[in-house]
Amino acid sequence: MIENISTSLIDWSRAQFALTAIYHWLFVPLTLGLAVIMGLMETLYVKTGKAFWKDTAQFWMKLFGINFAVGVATGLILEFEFGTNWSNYSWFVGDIFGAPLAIEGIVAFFMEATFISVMFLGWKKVSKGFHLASTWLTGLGATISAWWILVANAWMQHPVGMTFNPETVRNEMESFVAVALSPVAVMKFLHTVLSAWMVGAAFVIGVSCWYLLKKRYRPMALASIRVAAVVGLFAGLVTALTGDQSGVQVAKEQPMKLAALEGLKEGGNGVSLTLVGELKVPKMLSLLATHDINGYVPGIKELLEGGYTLPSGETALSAEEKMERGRAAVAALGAFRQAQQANDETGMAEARQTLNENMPYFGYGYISSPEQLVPNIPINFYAFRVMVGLGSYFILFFAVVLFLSYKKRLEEFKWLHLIGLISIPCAYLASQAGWIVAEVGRQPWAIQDLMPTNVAVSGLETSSIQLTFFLFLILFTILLAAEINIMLKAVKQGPHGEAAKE
Amino acid sequence: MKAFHTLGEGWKQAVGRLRSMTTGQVLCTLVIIKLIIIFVFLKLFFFSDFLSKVDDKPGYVGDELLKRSETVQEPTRQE
Repeated sequence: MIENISTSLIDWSRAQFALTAIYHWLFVPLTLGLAVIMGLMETLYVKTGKAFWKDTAQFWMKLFGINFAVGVATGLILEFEFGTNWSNYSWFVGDIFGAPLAIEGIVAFFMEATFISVMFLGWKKVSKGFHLASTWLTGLGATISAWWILVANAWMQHPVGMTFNPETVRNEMESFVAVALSPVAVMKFLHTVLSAWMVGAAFVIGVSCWYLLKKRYRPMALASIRVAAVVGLFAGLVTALTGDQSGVQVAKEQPMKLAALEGLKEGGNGVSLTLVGELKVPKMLSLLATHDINGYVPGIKELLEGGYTLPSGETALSAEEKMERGRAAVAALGAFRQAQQANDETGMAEARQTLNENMPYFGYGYISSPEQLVPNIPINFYAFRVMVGLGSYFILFFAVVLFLSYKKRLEEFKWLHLIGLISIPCAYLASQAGWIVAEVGRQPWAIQDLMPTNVAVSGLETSSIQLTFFLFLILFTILLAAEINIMLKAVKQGPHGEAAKE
Repeated sequence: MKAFHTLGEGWKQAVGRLRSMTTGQVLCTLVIIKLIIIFVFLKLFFFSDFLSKVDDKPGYVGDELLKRSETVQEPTRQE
């Protein structure tokens, strides 16, 4: 056991979690996105009775199966890490965080696992309707899984529906509905899942474009592109709308994250949005953050110095004031424990009252200087631009592809096929950048305002984290290489039956 | 040298067997190997629950929360 928590322990623990999450998220969006596309294709088969759609759906199901098999259970490692590397955090929030994760494991995963077997093995054993239902329920199971994981993540960004019990040293759930249906969770779910549909759509279009370049399976490629472009465009537009709403939520609940995303050192009214370098759109940041072109957006300076008026009408506290209240909360926890040991009921009640009054600032008690409250600006700034830039590109891309598909001119443009192929890694890059914005942007907090990462981390030896970091790096890289290898073989093999006709 | 030769032969056989498998068989093998690595190797040897050996968990985490606050430097105030 180590006495002081070193920076390297925190950094390695964070790096390990980031590595695991990034690799896990390589598999998840394709599962969510392909589930919808192959569900639509099978629906077309059931509606039209054409074997072409059945064979086309089966081809994409095969790629879905490869991705699912390689990716399944990689997320469990994140849960192992909670118990081992982040034990203080796990205990502190276990009562709340555990519920969504348990529901995810029990309901969603088993639902997904049950219907996926019918989907792959039941073509000749169950009716068309039952098989179609199984395909959609497989996708629904994966989506419900994502819902609960995102509820847990949203709670860390905006903790609600709980009360801190100093006797158990845990945040205990007061309202399951407040946790499960928190506006941040709802928006995060829609934004994340719909962006995953965009990844699925980009994947299907990219692979189909490769077939068009190679002049193979033309009808299947063109039909797949049309279905994927519809899904991609719809998902892109909803992702943009939910992104806009998320921006307003971040401005309200995590203003420091917004300031870091913009590199906004000083705020004000009618603040411009920086596109790149000195290229700015006047008043745009105010519009995005407050839906008012002259709305007030605090910068890093104002957030640290306080004194501005919050939307609620209250005056914002400075970082120093929050740190003082945080120290009062931590000291009250200590006083409560001492009174508890001495069976001093009055002392316990007094300490509990002080704790409750200052609990919203509990995490600030571990912050030694206001500068620690500022997340890494360059990483956030560029990750945000990669996410938004590529997200906008994909809306345009899906619209152009859909337009040309309806005009039956898609085959004429070879350059577009090449762009389609290149768009596959771009979709993954945008998706990963989104998570970087969400997670790096909320530093130094493991739980917003309540627990910084230097308190959440377990008192382990850094070397043990380094060892498992490299073990994961090797394991995940092998899995990724296996996925790409098996996937490429399956793509080269192509579809069968009606869909294989040139 | 003999050991290396045996290992090499084993590897060649394993690769040969994998190559002769269908995609479904390869995936099933991959899933089984992965689950063994995750649940047996990683969980048992590297990821035991940190608090599992602690009897008084609230007490331990409470101590940790107080101890970590002690290492925080009081900000220096300018006069």
